[in-house]
Amino acid sequence: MIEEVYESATFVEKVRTLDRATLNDLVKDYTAHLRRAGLAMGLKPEEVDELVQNTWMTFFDVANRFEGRSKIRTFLFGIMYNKVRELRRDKTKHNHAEWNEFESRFDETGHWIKLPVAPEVFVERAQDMGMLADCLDKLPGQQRHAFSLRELDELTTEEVCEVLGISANNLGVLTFRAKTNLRECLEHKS
Amino acid sequence: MIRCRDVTEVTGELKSLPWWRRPELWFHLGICSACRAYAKQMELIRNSCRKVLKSQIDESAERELTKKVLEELDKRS
Repeated sequence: MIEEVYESATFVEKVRTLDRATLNDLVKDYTAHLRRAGLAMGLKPEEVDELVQNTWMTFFDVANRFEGRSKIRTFLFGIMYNKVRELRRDKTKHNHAEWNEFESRFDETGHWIKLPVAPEVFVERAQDMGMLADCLDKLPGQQRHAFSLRELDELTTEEVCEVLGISANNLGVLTFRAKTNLRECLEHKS
Repeated sequence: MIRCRDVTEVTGELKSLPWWRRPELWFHLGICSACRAYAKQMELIRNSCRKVLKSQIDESAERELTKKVLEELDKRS
């Protein structure tokens, strides 16, 4: 369905009163998006279906409190993101090694000390989907979420910020660090 | 003068340069093969990650999941 329809006052009222046809439309329109975002955030296919179902169940529970202040899409993705964070709380690896590696590549005048690997070598590694997926898995949670949600193109930049609860500036830093860490990770693979 | 460190931040899309400094960036990329390599790699990473994300899409699983959620919704009312 078109986004404008999802922003009208009558629509908000229908969500609040749990209008059955409206909920049906929402499920049909957004389940695929949620599943894609879950996978992008690093969930395994066997985890993601359960997560999306739980997201909807929570949504049905709290929909009567929906005030239409944010878009319905952002509201839904927000519920899911909270669940992903709960799920990942104990599993997140904090790996700052690669970032430090990047910092130490420059001297105090901002010139390269340690040059990036030759493009020909790098191309092969970056196109190896297994290697890339492995490096993505090594990213700190927030970096991965920010980078993947933005590259997935299902949400606008503003929506990604709202879902993650961060500023546009912060999103820029996170995605830059994610790409930098991915680059370092791929360069170290052999 | 623009430094290599600044160039990586621009090509990595952390910062954007005002238009009047663009020629400076192009000139730097013209003479600095390391920064050129870095910019290429950043682009490559984005493109490849998009491919990974696309490859994860499973439309039949999405349809199946939608059906399941609709059934759960039925049970609630």
